[in-house]
Amino acid sequence: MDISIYIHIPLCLKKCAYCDFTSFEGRMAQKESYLEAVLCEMRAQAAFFGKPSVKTVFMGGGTPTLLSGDQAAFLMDELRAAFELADDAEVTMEGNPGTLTEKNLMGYRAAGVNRLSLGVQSFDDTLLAAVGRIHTAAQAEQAVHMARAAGFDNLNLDLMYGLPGQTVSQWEQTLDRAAALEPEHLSCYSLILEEGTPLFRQVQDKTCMPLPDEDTLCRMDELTAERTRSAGYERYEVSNYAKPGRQCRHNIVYWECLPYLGLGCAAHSDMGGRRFYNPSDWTAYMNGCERSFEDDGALKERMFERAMMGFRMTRGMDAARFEHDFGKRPEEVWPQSIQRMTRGGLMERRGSRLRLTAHGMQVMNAILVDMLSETDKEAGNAF
Amino acid sequence: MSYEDKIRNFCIIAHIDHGKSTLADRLLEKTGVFEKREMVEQILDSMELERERGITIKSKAVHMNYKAKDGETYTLNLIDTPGHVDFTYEVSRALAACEGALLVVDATQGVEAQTLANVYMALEHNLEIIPVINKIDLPSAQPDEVKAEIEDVIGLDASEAPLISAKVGLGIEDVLESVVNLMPSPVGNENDPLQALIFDSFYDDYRGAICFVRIVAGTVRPGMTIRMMNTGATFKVVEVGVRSPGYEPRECLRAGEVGYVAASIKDLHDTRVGDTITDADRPAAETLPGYRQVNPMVFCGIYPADGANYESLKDALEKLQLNDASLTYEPETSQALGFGFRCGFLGLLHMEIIQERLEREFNLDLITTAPSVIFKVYKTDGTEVDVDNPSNLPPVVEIEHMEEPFVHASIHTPQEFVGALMEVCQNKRGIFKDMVYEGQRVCLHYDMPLAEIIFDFFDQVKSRSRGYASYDYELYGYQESDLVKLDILLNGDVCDALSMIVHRDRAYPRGRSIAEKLKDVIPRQLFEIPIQAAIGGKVIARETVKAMRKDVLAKCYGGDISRKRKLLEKQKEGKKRMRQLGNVQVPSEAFMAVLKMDE
Repeated sequence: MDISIYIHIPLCLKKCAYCDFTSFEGRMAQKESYLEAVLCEMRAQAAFFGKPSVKTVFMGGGTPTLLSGDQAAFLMDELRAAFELADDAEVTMEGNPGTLTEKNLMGYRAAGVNRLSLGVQSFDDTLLAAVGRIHTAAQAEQAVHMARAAGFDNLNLDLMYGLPGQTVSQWEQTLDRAAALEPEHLSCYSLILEEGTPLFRQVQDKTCMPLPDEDTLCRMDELTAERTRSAGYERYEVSNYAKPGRQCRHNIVYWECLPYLGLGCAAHSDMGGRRFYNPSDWTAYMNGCERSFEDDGALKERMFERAMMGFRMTRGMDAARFEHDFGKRPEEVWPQSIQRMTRGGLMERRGSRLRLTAHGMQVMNAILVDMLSETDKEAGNAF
Repeated sequence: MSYEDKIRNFCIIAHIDHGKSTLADRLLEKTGVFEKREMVEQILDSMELERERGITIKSKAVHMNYKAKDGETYTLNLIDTPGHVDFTYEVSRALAACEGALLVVDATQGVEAQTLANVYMALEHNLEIIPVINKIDLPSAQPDEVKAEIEDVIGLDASEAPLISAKVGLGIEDVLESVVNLMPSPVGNENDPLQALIFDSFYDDYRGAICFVRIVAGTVRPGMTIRMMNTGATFKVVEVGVRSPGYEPRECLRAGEVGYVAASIKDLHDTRVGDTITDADRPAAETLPGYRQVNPMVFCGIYPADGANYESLKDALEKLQLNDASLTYEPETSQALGFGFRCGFLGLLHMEIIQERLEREFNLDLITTAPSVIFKVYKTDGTEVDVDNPSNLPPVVEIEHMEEPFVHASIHTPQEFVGALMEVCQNKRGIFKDMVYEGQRVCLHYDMPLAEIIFDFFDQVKSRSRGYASYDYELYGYQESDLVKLDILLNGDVCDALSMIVHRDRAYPRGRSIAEKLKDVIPRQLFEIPIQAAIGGKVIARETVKAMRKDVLAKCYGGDISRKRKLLEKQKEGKKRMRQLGNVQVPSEAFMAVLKMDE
């Protein structure tokens, strides 16, 4: 079994206003002991699953670039010892432009990290400050040059639109400045306002600029498609754009519902149909608390998740693999919904793949809800 | 002094918020009916809904004993009256049970439209009216000006009017003394054949239907066989007594007294307000005047928002009907809404109250269709049918002509709003009859279609007169009208729950307005949804709910797949609360939207 590995580094110098991922400020002193805990977990899991072969590794956060080059090397060495890391493995590290040093970057390269994903978010200093980013636009550009100098030839920039008070032209400038840096990959996320985040409260209390309305978001979305296309990027997922051959292989594993092992605080895993996750509480994780298993692995849910994840990709879900795994074609599971969507120009069948059209992708949630409702009715829950 | 010399039967009349309920509380408190610490504010309005809306829905009678300054102890019966146009008939029966009325006027506001309308009603029943000036504790109180206004506008002597503050309990004793000294005692012979006026009735789980009565002549006692003179039903009396405020059984109730009669009556329909109770063995020669059978005038479909709750809705309606003989219901089905009931009400407020009670007391989520009146349809084959549901209207080719109910409407208003209100009446197809000046005030008389009154007439009268005007109406008969069925089509299909019968002249603006409203309430969906209003297949208005543009999660939270699935499942639950009409999801509010119109 080939798998992917995710390693969570839940450390931040300062949390951003919109973030609801598991990450902690002020725990830098415990970094070493955290890495020890991750190693323990890594060895135990490798033994349990019989040293599987690893195709991709993703160090996410939090802020993985708070690790020193040595710490990154230590992690990677242990990983190579515990698993069979493929020669051509994609090894990605997420990073904050405000935390990079030349020395660390050289260290990451030496450790075997071959892809860097930088959280740039915006090239507008006012917007960056408004959402609590610790870096400026100039620092982000500087970070890209530093990464190139250190030998990274596979770079991603994370960008966000729909920020409080953001205008279409501000987004346009950010897209242009990002493209000018010629990264191999761009992730352009529309801001999701998550309950419980500082930004959520600010929006509710109206203490920040208002969020752009639906029409503005749609214009930003269209603009994203245009600018990335003309800059030579191809959209391959809802929010992801890549130069030819530079798609993020690790994320594709998620979207294809292939197995992955998550290590670290709050990390989720899906290993051969069994899903589990680590505690999101720091102390609970450090004390080696039991991971929790999800009990909702019923067939109906599993089939739905294939569609839910697969439709995120422009190439759509692998209908042939779906039929192989579940013994039914998607068209047999959701006959009405798929027929309606296909007639309405929102969905199309392309050989072994069932995919959403560009318009369909925009309204993916509504399509998925429609499919959910159809299987509900079959179960007799209608009315 | 005989027993009836020491009885006073009275009611309190007032403009809304002038302090009627608070004064009632103080009177009960002063006469020891309630200990102060037990008092919940405004005891007479005991239903939760009544308290919240500040209105009295059902009338009640409370028995008080008061030791007056002359050393005698008097029996005071306070009869509360409902305060809305839908219940005019009930009010008139309650007034008929009294000899006097306390007219409460706010010392800061003076005489208001409702004050006047109430006074006229009290005068019709020959009540002795005692003005009471309330809220004199407020800094802006102007008791002398208000007294003068009462004399000028109403023509009542207000020089002796008690100056009180019901809120702080000031002058309450003066009010009680006035009741004793100025109001007449009832007349009537306890030995004559029994005549008891039913002015209210309600259903008690243990005693069955209970009548509140005013004994006009004769005596009623347990063991007696009584007959309802208008319905003819007979019962054996189990218990008589007074409410103070709990049940206090008595040996008998004699002429002039007010109290309750329990006779193991199973069905509230046998205890009709306004009926006369007599002794079956020694009946009175004639019934008391003024009886009227109250029939529902407004109809609408009530459906459970979740079809699974049909049985619960049925049980709830059964229970409500036990206590409300004027509510009717029968099963009906709608293509759009599934199984539900066609319900009949006295008027719009009655309808709203029933809906709220169903939702609150029975915890039901409801969908209500547009209210309708009963239309008389004369068919080309010579037959006639009553239609209270637009879906049952025969095809146009079979209709010879149609008639709709008309009412005499009287609107009491200060002069300055006459123009605006006349415009409202014209817009509502009103036919001007006359205009009567009453001091500074005017009473407008119009003949109007009931269908227009039940729409949003009340809201319009209130808003165009800044709340000063009040109105009353009485059904007088049917008139021929040019009526059409207005259909609403969603995605090309007629939605039966949104159809209505309207006058041809109103059909265009109403159709347009409904289509616009629906466009705003129906959320954007995957595909564009045309909304059309049509009369007999001819589309008169069209709006479009555009297809949604964007509904997608930007990021997928790393490996946390179940979180995303749960988000979608939540979204699906939200969708479940909507009605699926063909491919269109319609929220419950859409059905409400057609009720609240401003053309």
